[in-house]
Amino acid sequence: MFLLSRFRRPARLQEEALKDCVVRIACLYALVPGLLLAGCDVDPGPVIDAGGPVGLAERDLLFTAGGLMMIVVIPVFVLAFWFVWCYRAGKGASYMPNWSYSGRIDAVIWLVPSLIVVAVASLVWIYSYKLDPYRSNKDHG
Amino acid sequence: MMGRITLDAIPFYSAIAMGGALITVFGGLVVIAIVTWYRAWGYLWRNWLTSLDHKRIGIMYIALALIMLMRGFIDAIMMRMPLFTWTALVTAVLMVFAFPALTVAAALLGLDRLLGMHFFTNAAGGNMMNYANLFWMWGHPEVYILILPAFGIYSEVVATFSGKRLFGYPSLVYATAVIGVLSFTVWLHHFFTMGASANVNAFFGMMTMIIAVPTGVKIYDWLFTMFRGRIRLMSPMYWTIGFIVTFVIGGVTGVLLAIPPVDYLMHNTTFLVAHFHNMLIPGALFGYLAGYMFWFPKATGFQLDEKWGKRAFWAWIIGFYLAFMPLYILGFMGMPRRMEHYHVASWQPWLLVAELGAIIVLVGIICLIVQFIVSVRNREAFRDKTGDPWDGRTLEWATTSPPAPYNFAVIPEVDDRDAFMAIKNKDVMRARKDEYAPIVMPDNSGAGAIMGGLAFVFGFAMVWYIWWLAIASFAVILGIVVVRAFNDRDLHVLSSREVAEIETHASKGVIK
Repeated sequence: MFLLSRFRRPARLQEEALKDCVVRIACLYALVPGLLLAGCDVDPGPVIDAGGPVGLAERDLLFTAGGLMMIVVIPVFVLAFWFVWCYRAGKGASYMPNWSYSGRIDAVIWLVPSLIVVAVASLVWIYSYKLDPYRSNKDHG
Repeated sequence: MMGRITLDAIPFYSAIAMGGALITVFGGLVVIAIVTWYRAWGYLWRNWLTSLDHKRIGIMYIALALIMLMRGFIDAIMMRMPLFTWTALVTAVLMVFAFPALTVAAALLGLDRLLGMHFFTNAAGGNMMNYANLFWMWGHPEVYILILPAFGIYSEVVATFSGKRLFGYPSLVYATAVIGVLSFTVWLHHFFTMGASANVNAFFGMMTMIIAVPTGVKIYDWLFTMFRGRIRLMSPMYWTIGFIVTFVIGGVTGVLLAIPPVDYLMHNTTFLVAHFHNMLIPGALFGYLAGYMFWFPKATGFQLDEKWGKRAFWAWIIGFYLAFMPLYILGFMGMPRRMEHYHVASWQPWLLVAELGAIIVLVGIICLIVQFIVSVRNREAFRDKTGDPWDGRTLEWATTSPPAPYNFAVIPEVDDRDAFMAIKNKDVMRARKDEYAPIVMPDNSGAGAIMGGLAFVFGFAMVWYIWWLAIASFAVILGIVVVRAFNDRDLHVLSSREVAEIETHASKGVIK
């Protein structure tokens, strides 16, 4: 979202439209903890509620990688609803039919996912060896 | 003395053309200077340019091809193709390189079955996993063959209905090409539990997650195409927005499954089933439904009913979430896929929710059928007389709906990415002439359909050992290939009078 602030124009109408969007997004976020809690009273199952050290390590890896990816995924949800809401026809928001490139946005959308993949790939490299089921006993020392 | 050449022919007006030309000219001068410096002109003439040695001719062809390739990059003529055209091109390349693996797998399997060989059985030195390897060496590029054209459709739809140029077009093109290349480096993630070493698993896991980068870039490019647009929420756009939001969930679960230790946990659970449905239903199917509703008027001359299209969307998206999100949870609870029956009580509530979702998806399918019937019935009211029902940006919308058999009577000149939008903005009327050149058209041919049908018969006969039928169907297939290959009269010509007639009808908007 910080990216978009530089495109904001001082037009009053649009400021209001933006505020409107922010409030709505905040409401959406407020719903999230409720949804998460709703999952607590069910049987968590053998993956989440792992017993042994290998199962626990695998589960933690799952959570870490999933958490890292939220950096890319949550903005997608927010931007998708925000843009559709704010820029639908008849809303009178600003219109730039020929705007089709921004070096900064391009850099961020290539670099951020790349960095996350570098991070997760490092985990893959380390843990594929650590948790290799065919590793012989003498390696475990 | 100089014919038509003047100083105006030098492209001072275009930095790119001028730069390309200067690099070419100076590059040529440098080469000439080097050859002269080494006094190699005689050697070049005697041993290379006039040589009949096929090895040397081959080397010169390669050098020429490389030069033409560089020239192609300077021209960058392909960078004005619509994105759907790009994805179709990359898909075609994938098909050329991926399908041989399936052909080989099928041939070896045939030898195993029919001649008692042991490529894929563990007896006599064979290995079952060879089949899995060959199958997925085709199978993984194949899922990109499924999804890349859908990515192209989303690109066209999102630009058209946002009334805006596609954001990050070069990124989208390169991302498509990168996905095409990487799709051949990931197949082993389908069987991390095969027993390969940690080295092998880690390599394929990492390659798999690298694909998430260009795909993520595409998602953001579509989002920023909507930014500062004027979004018309028609049915093709509904499918596209539903895709963007839902597809990223499948992307996350895909990267999770690409981590080999995590895959050891989740392999063959319903988590995996949920993941690939999450990719192919919102990813590919929604795309084809968007394309169906987008191009239906172009192909048939009348639009599809919007109301039923949107109903179908809502049923599909709600049904999808209800049917497949519980499968992710069931995967965490350890439910394997492909179960005949189960007696774990805690799975039951989630499976009931999934069943409800499946029923809602069925409602979505019914809505699509109703939409089709309603639209055909009301086709007069839905008739597209303009040829451009969505305020389109690319050239297909410059033709009538449906287009003339030859598409364009006069080949349009393209100097912008959204060629039709550029024409509309310049306020130039569609090129209409009194005289048209005759157009050569290919004849219809039943050969493809008949050969396809006979290939099915051949396969069926081979599976069930019906030898006479196998021999007969194969002989007929061969015969058709030979007859077709020797048929030199497979073209017909539309005379300029016929072309003019079709064009006049088209301009009055009364084409059938």
